[in-house]
Amino acid sequence: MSNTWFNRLLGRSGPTPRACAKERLLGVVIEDRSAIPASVLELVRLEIVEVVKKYLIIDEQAVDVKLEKDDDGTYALVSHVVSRGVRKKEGMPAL
Amino acid sequence: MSDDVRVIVITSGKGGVGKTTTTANVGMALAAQGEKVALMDADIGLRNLDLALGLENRIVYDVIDVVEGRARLKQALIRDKRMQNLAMLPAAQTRDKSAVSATQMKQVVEDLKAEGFTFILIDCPAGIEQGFKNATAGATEAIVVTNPEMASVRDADRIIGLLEAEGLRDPMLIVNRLRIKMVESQDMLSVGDVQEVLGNSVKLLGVVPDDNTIITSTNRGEPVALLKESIAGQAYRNVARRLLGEQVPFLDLGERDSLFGRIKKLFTSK
Repeated sequence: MSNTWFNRLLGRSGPTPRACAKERLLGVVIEDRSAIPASVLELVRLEIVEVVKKYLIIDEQAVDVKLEKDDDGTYALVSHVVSRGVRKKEGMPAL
Repeated sequence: MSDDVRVIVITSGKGGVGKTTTTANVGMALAAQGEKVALMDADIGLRNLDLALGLENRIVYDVIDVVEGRARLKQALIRDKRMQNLAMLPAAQTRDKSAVSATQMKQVVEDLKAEGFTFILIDCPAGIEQGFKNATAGATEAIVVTNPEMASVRDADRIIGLLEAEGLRDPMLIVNRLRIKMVESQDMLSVGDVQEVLGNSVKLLGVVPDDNTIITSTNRGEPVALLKESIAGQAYRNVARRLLGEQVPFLDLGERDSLFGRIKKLFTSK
């Protein structure tokens, strides 16, 4: 146990069980409330990847889509995409 | 006059989080404050409130006998000998949750009001089916009990949504079985974490630490609210005082974040 504590002190063991629980709960609770299943979010994610990669160079695995609750109680679809640059012109569809 | 009566359902969604213990102890603590308290066991078929109160040997009639006209409400109510102004209406043990309808439940609540009680606490069955709907039918306020544990918090969130659909808005929250040391070592959800997940509509009513005296006193049929030295008992007495409108500070909850977390909070809090 003290070993775990020592690892944590050095930031070696990643998020704490408490932080994990909170993060996971916030995820499932928002899914339960919005009635938007995770499978639908995954389909949305895959399609976003398809669209964005036509224009930008991206790490497809790192594209992340999730729901966030806004202050007014509505749900925002938030996607995080890291771009490594613009695709060369010839790869791009005509504008 | 009877409009001043507080009718509170105690619910959780998930089973085993401490609804019945909460009902028994909050009831006891309210009665100790001089309130006239009726505790109704709405968990038809799985009667347990009698055990938590140590009244199991005194049951003659139950709520089904009252609803079906075999007994008058007064006959079925069991007065607590330790606390004269506390009474329990037992659930039936031989029937199931469909044996009482929502309409009949409302009628029982009305009849309890007419008996002059100032607080009526309804111990709700686990689950989200008909038994839940019946138990909530006669209530005007709700207490949601949760443990700082994932399945329990998730179910509490579902229950809060369902309570709102039943017109029971802004439920009160009791976080039960908190292990302060585990929160401090970042191994367990804190009360603040639970509140953050469940959202702002929920009002914190109490925090009950995990405490061995709950087990020993339940085994003896003596609710911990009666034990002066029990920390869980103190937590339940505090809940009763808050229900009566008093501002009572919460026990030390081990809420301390890591140093970084605290600094971050300074900059992000509104």
